[in-house]
Amino acid sequence: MISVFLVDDHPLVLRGLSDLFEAHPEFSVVGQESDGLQVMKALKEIRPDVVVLDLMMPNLNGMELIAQVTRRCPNTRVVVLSMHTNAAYVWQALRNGAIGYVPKGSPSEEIITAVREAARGRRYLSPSLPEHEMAVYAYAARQSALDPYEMLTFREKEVLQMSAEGNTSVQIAARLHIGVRTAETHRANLLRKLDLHGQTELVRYAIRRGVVSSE
Amino acid sequence: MTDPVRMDAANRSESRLLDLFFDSNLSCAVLLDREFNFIRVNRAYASACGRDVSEFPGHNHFDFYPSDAKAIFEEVVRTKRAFSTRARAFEFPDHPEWGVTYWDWNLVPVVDARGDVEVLFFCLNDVTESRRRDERMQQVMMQLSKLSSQLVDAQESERRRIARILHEEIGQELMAVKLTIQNRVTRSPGCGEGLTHDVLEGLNQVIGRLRQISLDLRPPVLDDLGLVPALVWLISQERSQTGLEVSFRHCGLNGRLPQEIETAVYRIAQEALSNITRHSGVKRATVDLHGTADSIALRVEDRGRGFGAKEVSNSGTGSGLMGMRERARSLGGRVSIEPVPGTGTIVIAELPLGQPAPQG
Repeated sequence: MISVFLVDDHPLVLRGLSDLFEAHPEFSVVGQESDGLQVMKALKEIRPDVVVLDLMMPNLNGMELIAQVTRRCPNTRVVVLSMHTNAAYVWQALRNGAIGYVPKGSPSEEIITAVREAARGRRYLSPSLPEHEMAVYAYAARQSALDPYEMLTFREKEVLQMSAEGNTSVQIAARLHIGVRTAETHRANLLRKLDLHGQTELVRYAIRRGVVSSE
Repeated sequence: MTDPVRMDAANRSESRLLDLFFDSNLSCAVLLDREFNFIRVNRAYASACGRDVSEFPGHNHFDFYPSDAKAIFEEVVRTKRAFSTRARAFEFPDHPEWGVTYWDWNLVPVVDARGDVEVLFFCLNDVTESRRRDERMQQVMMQLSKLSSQLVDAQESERRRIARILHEEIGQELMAVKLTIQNRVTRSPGCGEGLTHDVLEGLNQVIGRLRQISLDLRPPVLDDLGLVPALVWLISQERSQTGLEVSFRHCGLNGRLPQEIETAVYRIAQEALSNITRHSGVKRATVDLHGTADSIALRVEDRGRGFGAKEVSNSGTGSGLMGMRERARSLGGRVSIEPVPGTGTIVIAELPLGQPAPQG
């Protein structure tokens, strides 16, 4: 017998799900919750095999809840039932520890299959969520090496070079025909963008980056 | 020419003219000796001080009006160099009810034949009123800018609310209706199958349309998952709707940022991309996002003929550009739009993290 706990803030959905599982003798619905704040407490007491949860509920960060359940109830598997079919949600839910993901509106057999697979520790993704989309998303969302120098505006690049060459804000302002305060603002902005603190770091960066020569 | 009577007459007429000039001058004029004792003041000065002209001679300026300007006066005597200042604050000790007043003034040392300072010419203009006007104007500008950022916030939260209602509530209701119909059909096959099929088809279209409206208003992924997933989604939307190929890179962003920052960066990127598809007639662009401990920078570049700031404002969508700038400014950041001859346009936005101090 697979014990199932249901989490959703729509009473209609809860009833529908409950009826669905009761119709299959291999499942037993051991509890349901529609208040996000109560979910974790209930799960720790009941320790079901599988929790079926809606990601988006009032008073609840669904993604955070998945991570918590995975950490604090390691024997409880999480199957997500969500309005969201965006690969980002699926990817994030799986990364946080969910083992199944079924979009709301999928045929009811899918939910049954997902929970059955989850109870055996096997991943289930609805056929409407192609694996390759997850891969595409993960690739698009990955971190890349980025040259922060390219984030500088043309003006900031000029100010960086002149500042590294030892010019004061007053001299920079005069040469660029801008106000002294504007020149100082440009310098403060470029320091922040490059994560530099002070003139020494600025000069060192400019040399390393080849903006000025070290002689 | 050596007639003493005629010379005396000439001197007298000259001195009368000088007196007239001194006294009719609307600027305040004061002659001081090198110890800053009053020699003579004009009517404008006396009336600005609320005294009579005759009250001054013989008294020391700093006995009447003690202030830290004394150091400046001493410096002028020492260096024999004139000094001017603008809108310097002063409080009359004998008229506290006047509050802080503001003065443009010059202090000119007059040097005698031996090179010593003989007298000081002190000339002042009351700029209190224009200064107060500036202050009021600045206040109004601050309020205006606060109001405009509140408007932006209000617009976002309203969009978020409507998007949620459409997607979460109405969307779910429709989904339930669809399920009900499906269940009926499964239980009693054959009953009006054609009609049910049409109804289901219609429902699917409504659900899809609703979904798109809600996503366009404010994608829930921005609130639920954050900036990077939202930008990935935005870029995939652009690709499928307009064919724009965007290469996206990001670095240094770990975890969530304050909501107003995430929203601002998202909206600026959205506006920049939409300008590219509207104006530049190109099919490729790059979006780069770089975070440091106290800053987040966004860079959007199109590889085409670019949309100049001028072109955008001429075509009536300048409000979008203004909105970009306003969003950044209200968070203490800025947007720069740079044409790159031959290659396109670069939009760079930067927002400081931590202290959201709006810049004037």
